[in-house]
Amino acid sequence: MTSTPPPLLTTTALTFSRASGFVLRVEPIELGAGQSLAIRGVSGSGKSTLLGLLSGELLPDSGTVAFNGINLSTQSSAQRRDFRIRNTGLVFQEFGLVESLSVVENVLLPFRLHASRALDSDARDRAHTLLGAVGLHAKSARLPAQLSHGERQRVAIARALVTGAQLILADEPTGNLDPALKHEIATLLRDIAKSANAALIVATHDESIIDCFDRARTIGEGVLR
Amino acid sequence: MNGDVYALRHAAFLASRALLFSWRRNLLLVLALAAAIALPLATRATVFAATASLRARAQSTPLVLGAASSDFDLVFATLWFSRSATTPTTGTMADLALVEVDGLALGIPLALGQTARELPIVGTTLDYFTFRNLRLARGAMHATVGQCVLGSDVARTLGIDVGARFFTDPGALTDLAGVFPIELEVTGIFAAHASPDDGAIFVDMATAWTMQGIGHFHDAPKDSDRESGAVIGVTPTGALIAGEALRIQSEPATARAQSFHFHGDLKDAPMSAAIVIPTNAKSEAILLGRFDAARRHDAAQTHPRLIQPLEVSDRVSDRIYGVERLLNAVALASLLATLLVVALAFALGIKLRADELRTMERLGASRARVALFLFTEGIAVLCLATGVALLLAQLAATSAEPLVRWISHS
Repeated sequence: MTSTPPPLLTTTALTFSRASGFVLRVEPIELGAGQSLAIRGVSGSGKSTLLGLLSGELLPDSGTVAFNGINLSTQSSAQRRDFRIRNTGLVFQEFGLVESLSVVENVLLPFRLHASRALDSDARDRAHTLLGAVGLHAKSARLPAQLSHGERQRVAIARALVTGAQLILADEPTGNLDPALKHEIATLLRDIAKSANAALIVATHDESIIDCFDRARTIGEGVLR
Repeated sequence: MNGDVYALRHAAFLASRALLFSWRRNLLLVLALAAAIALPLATRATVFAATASLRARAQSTPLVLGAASSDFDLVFATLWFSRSATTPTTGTMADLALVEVDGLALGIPLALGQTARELPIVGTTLDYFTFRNLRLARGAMHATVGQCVLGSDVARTLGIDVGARFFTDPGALTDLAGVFPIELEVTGIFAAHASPDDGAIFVDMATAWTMQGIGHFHDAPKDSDRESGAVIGVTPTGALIAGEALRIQSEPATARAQSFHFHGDLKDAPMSAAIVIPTNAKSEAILLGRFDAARRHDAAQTHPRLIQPLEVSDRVSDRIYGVERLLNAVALASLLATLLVVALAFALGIKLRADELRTMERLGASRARVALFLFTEGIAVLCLATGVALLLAQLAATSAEPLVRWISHS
């Protein structure tokens, strides 16, 4: 008898509310290693909030988020931060690049922020490989201010992938890219996640990239269905 | 790698990148902070060097003999050849006997107050050069009236060397007694001595007196000079009385040493001051006691004074320390104000980078790690500012000698 491997990420009946009155309800999510999920929704629908809950950055009012069987909802703030460091790669909607660091230094930034990640030659090689994959190898010494919006977004994607995280959470990763590049970058994200056996969740309002991912769900009126 | 070392290494890297990225702002912060830190350091270094210089010169001069006047004027005129100090000229060569009596001391006379190209001319005897340990770098010592030896700074300032000739400065037009500009011939240059002697022109006493009109050269008046006004009469003994038309020579005396002469008794010749070198400590005590007693019984306060330069220099140093304390209080207030401004600039900088810092936290950096990164930035600015401040203080210390000159001239 063969047994199905347990899902990498599972959530149960999550709810989250803000002081402003915004309430988000999340119907259960199950995502296995190497799988990808697109969360589509308009701006302000709660996509970024959902990613915050999945990364352990935000705590739900009710329900659970479990990664590899560990319930993040019962973890302390320090434990959840440690989880983010060890397991997640984040792509922020606003890029989140450090203006004083070069492109390659930005990609390697996660290694400089926690002692659990060693900034060794393997990490540097991986950074350069990823920069090549997103078409920025020739610009690895440039500062973010010298890049276009699309190029900055690609740096942010390379940074999310560089640590080999098992859970990649991308918030509008193609939001600032040329139409021609959107599909390419979305496919790149999916392929790298798959090859790394990582689960990928992409929040986007761009319908044109939805079909790049294994599954898609919609968030609207405060509910992820 | 040890976690703490790892954290420090990366914090230093991120801080260095952030500092370089905003280098103009950070350079201004470093310079502002450096100036504020340097002020008290420079004051201390300068005061220390200046007082040490004052004390060293004073310590090397046991006693100074001079006419009754200000202690400060006497010491600064005698040791630093200060031109603004009232030059004590009421003493005479006869005063030397007061200290040389019973073999208690050696007196080295000084004739001060004359200048050439605004540099001080010091008339003295050869004992002075032995006492100060002044050695010739080139040339020879002056041998006769009209010759001089230059301090090293004078030779460099005037750009002249052995064999050069130059005129002394004339006195004021209103000075009826007159100061005769005479031409001096340079016979030697002293090696640098790192003392006020480097900035002086040395002549013998006879040359100094000649400049004061006591000794001079002129052609022997003849009866036939009556028409020109060079001779205006004859004394009952038959000696010719020279008139104002008699030509006083101002060329170097070397050509006419024979015609050089003084009028009057040389014991009455003026002496600005004298450096007194007692035979031993007992002699010094005896001399000080005698002069003290003489002054106590001298109601007119005209008796020459014998003073210890070290005591005067210490009094000057005390005044300098007083000014230093005042400057330090101002500097402290300035430093606090600068620190507040720098802290404000840092706080604004952090606010501007709030998104970056938030990203670091979202990527997994602890608050302590982010704080360490910012702290490293602050420490780097402080260290750079301190380095620049130490450099400035060091530069200020090298200006101590000009400060001593300024003190001695003001």
